Amino acid sequence: MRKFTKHIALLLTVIMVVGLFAACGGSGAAGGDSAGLDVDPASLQFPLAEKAEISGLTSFPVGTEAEPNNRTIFKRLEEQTNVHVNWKTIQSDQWGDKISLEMSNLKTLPEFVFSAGFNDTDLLKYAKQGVIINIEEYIDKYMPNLQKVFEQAPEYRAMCTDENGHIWALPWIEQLGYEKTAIQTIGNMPFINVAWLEFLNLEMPKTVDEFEQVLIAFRDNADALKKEFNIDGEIIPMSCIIGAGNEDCRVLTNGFGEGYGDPDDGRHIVVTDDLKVVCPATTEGYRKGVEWLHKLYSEGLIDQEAFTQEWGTYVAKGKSGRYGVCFSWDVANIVTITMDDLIAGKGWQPLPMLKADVLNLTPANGSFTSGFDRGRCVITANAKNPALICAWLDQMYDPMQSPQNNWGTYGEDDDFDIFEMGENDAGEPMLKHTWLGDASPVEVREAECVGGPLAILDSYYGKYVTCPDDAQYRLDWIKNVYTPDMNTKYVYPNVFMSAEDTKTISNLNADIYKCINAFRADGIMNGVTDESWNKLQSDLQAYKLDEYLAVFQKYLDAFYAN
Amino acid sequence: MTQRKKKSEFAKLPAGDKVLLIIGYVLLGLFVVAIIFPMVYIILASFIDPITLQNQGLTFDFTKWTTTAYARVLENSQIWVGFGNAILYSVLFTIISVVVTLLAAYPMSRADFKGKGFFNTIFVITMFFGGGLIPTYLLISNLGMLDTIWAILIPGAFSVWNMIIARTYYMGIPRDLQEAAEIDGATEMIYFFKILLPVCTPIIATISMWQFVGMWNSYFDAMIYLNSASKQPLQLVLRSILIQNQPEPGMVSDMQSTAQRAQMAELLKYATIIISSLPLLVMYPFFQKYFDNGIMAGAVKG
Repeated sequence: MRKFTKHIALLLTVIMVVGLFAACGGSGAAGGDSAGLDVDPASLQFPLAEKAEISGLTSFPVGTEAEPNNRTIFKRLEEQTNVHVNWKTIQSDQWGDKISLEMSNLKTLPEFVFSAGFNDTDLLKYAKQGVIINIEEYIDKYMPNLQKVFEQAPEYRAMCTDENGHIWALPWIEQLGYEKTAIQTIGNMPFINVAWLEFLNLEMPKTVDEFEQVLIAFRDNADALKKEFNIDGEIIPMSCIIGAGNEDCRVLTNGFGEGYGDPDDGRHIVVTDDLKVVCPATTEGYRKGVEWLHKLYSEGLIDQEAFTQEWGTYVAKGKSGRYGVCFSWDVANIVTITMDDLIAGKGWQPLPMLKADVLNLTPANGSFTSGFDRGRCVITANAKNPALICAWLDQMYDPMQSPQNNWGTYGEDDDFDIFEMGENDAGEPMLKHTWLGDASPVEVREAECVGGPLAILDSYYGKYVTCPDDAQYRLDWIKNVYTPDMNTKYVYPNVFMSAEDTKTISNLNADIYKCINAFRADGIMNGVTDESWNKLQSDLQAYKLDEYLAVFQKYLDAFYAN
Repeated sequence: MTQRKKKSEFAKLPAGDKVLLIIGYVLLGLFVVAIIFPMVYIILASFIDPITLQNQGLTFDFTKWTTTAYARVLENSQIWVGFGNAILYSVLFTIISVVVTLLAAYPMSRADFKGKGFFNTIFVITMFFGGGLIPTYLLISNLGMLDTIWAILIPGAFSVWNMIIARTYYMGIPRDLQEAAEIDGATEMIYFFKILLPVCTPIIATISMWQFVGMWNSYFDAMIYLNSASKQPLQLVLRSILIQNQPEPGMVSDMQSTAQRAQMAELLKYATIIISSLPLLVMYPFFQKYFDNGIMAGAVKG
């Protein structure tokens, strides 16, 4: 046996040595002979005099064109720039599983990852490993279109930059509305069945007490409602999925106490008007809110399955017309309603904010800068000529190009086009959304768009492009119904934390998140006692809530110091 | 006649045995129900409109029945490509795997094989330790097997567990058989192929079945190593149909696509289960007689 152990030891040693050599070989190849920042920007005027080739990695949705070069957008770009891209692709449903493998294999890794979608931890990890390169100087030198975007909205540059002043990735920016009118300000929008309200001669509720009376009326007139609207199954005055981001009912309790609400389901933080980060679960308003929801629950006004149901069940009941009130990004996903009725406010309408102690809606954290993805596109260490790649990628930030990459294009030979080329008021070319009829906008978009790094600012609408219809009515709801009630000044911005702080936050969050959500679920079901409330407070202290908030505070201070 | 005979046999048993027998049958019966019930549920559910299913559960109101799910799945041309690939991979993998396993097991079953202990240690190490996902991926990539059928067939072909089963089975075959063959002038090769293997059909069938089912149901290796849509096996295609693409962070249109797709996935869930398990369900009875025998024969020495 001893002999065999020796054999194995020898074998392992050989393997390790070979492994070391292989690793050295790998990183040696990665360094490459990069042209760096010496390239003269003037030599990168498109179209290039001589055809250049670069290689990229991107994803494509299942069932759509797998070769990006066959997409109209890339065909046109190749003509405009005289740059040919050799694409490597991953089907988008497998992206999450495969991208880390691709990033670990420098031998086969292309020069840039077009639709990376890396989170902060990924970016800092790959940066540390030397797999991706920092590009802030390339942006300054070779990316005029992106610079223009940063000039118009300087906060995005700050959001892209890490604490050492490096930019590791090109962002994706999609503004639909801005600050308090941004489409992301409220995700779990409450909707009320106005057909039922009209049938029962009820007014739109404005306070929590009126709202409770409406639910009671729904409950008590269940038989009449079932008969009138021909409903299969029991009436549910209000349904939601407790603890799910956009289907939760927490937005109703925003008016209790100080009016902080608890818009951040994952992190449980809000920013006060004097720029302090607080945890709403430590405030009296939070307790009152949970107590009020318990009252509704004990009166049988909230769906009994609210704690257990999944999306499928939630939608199935909604499509059967059983709900009086429900929560969603867009009610059309939950109930059966035509687009015309929805826009005209027939059948279902967004429920305005309810007054309790105060009237307020705390917008979602990070929503003021609308859609933002920090790690959308990275340049890898394999890039032979990063300047050329950056200059090519800068084309994506052209105000006429970005909307096409994001949604789709015009003038294709197939049945549908997302856009037609028109003119704006000043007679300049503008991309106008076409009417798609019955085609699903998502499917048409996926067939045409290419994603990747891009920027669409709110100021582009009406000048370069029209706002997409399916976003427009939701933007109108926010502007007309919710923005007037947003009395909160700030939201927690989308900051780029260091790897260490990200880790601290995620460790502390694991306990804090669980503790708050367990208290809330228990409180709604069984009520809140002084004992359970005090236990929550002492637990939160034991789980180092102060340290948790201090980290957030540090980045908030830095963000507003600029 | 037979019934009376059975009855009388049961009646002859002592009271304690009768109770045990009854308990045994009840437990087995419950076990059968636990397996049959979900199967029947899935078959019925695959024909029912998902909204009705969620609201009312199973219904025999046939106006609510629909074959939309099957139509949606079957009209996807990828499915047929996937079917073809799954059969090809499963068959080839089974052949390669069985050959490798049987050949490796033979020397390991022989007492006079030198270095048996060494190989045994090496084999057993692989049962407890794997290379990890990324190193294995890099290895496959360096071998140039990425996006080729070999990445699916080769790495998992040798199963130590199956080798041990086969070895045990070989060891259960009396030595006399070989001695007799040798006296008649058979070489080692002739003995193995002409005499040993024909006695081993149960274990071959068993291992084949395991490997076939294992390959048929697997998707992970195919997902990691294969990139071209034309090479994907059925399970991977079904997985794609089910989960579709993941929403990109914050993209508004994706909020809606998520909703639409969640509904579509709900509709397709049961139909895809049926489609993927149907070939195995059909195949299983044909192999079953070998399957039962094989496990017993391999496990009991002598």
